Amino acid sequence: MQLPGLQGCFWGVRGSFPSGRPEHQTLGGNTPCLAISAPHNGQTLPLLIIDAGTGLLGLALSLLQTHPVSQFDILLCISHAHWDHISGFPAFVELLGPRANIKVVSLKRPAQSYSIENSLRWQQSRCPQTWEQIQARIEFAELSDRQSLSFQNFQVSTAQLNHPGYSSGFLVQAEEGQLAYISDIAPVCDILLAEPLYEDEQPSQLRQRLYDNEMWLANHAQTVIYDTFFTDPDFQGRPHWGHSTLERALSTCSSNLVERLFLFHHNSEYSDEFQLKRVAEVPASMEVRLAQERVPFFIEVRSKIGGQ
Amino acid sequence: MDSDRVQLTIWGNRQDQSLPGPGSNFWGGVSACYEIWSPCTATSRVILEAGHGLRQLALQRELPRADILLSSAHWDKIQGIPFTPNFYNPNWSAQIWAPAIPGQSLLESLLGQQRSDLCPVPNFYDPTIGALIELTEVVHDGPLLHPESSLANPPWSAQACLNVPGQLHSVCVTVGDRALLYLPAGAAASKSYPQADFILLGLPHQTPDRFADVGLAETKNKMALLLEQNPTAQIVLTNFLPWQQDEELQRLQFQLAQFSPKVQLARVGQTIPLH
Repeated sequence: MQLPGLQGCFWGVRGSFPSGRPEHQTLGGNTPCLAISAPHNGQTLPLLIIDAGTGLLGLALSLLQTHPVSQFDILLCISHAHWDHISGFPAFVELLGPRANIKVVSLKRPAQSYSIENSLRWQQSRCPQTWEQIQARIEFAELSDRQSLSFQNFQVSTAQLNHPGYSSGFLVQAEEGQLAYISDIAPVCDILLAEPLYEDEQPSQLRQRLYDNEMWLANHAQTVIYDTFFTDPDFQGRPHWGHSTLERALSTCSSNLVERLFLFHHNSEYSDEFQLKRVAEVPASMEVRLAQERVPFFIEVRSKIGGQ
Repeated sequence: MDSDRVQLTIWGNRQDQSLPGPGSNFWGGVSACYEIWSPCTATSRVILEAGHGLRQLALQRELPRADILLSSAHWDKIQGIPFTPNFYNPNWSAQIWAPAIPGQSLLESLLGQQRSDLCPVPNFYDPTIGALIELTEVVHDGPLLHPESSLANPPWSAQACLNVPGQLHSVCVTVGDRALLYLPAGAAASKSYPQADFILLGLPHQTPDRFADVGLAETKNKMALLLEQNPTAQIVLTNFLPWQQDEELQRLQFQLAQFSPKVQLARVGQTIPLH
């Protein structure tokens, strides 16, 4: 029997801050948010969401329109707490209210660091609705590096990436297909930005682990979403910002049998026209697309998955 | 003072958060920021709110010294600051005014916004990195006075009106003989405000299921009271909810135009002469 595959949809594709400028209307101006659902029984509820940028509210509005009476069981994976990845959370939980049952998943940070829960609570303290007034049911789950969690018919794994502080990529595996989310990330061969997760971890060990994580993510998915915020000259000027380039994305994915690459975390300094031109010049050894808001895509079963 | 030349430019018009997209391409989808300016005040600006619209303002205008008046230190009113280049220019200066909130100082909110887990950008308040920023917390109703502020000198002046004591701040800004009253969501219309020629009125914070009944009625009541107190004033509605799409705002404009021809909606990119 042919399975229908996973369905994904970007609700936010832009890095750093949202943009309402006309030159960003093709790809979209919201900060990161990706919804993934596995259609079954005619339902397409996006059970799994990665990152809670401003686009999360657009997703909530769509959910309420298409499922006016449903309860929503949501697994919300948050890569890290930088504003562009969490600022959609307050309006999202307020809008869905008691109909939402949300499990927030993130990478487990060392005890002395801010947890994702702490960051979300701080954010909420500067919003009209206090944390105590939230009617959605929220629970938190922290996963160690490369630890997995099962949720309905998905398995989600974390993998720390090279970005200032503690940022995680995610591998989403289901019977119907696999997807890797690799954002935000800087090439670890050029600069080491992430903080160690373990007390005795040396920089060389950390560097190796981050490199292995990036390759592990790309090696297990036929669809990869990758941070291509920078052009090569941009990266040379601002390597410490923790973002990557198209060249690095192609290099990571071409060595890993990736079938489709989404360029993601678009830089608002560049117009969509520039981005379209950039992707048109890519030699086609795989399908390379720009992440675009509100355009669904499908992930079919892949015949050959990389080794465990 | 040529009062016909005082202008209000809308750079962001949303409360809660930005939500740009196909549903907000016409009215605009980024969080609040309003600029009051005139060719006669070329060396100073008054800016109401510092949402994401502030960045666009700073990119499109050469921004002189500014007084930034915040209605609160809520996230949607300050989130443009870390992304506005002026704050990292040691040659730029600004005065930020906000209501004093018990247990949440303005400095704590601004520094907290740039906590290392939340923001990768260095904190602008570090004098070795950023602009010269003065913070003033407003405790009482009355004139906003600070020796370094443009508001202390003609043609500018401004008067604070604390609506919910210690939480929410309305303000009346005067340029020459023109007065603009800014009432954000939650500001009581029954309070006695200074007379104004122009009223920038924020919509109430509501969820979609309650806006049509509660939010709209509250807005109409508020407008009626304000027009009673300021019969010649023009009203510009703003601080739209992020979920209010262009079609809904179009309908709102139609409904409110029937209520009073003196009402219009704020559109991002629009410059409105204050006369």
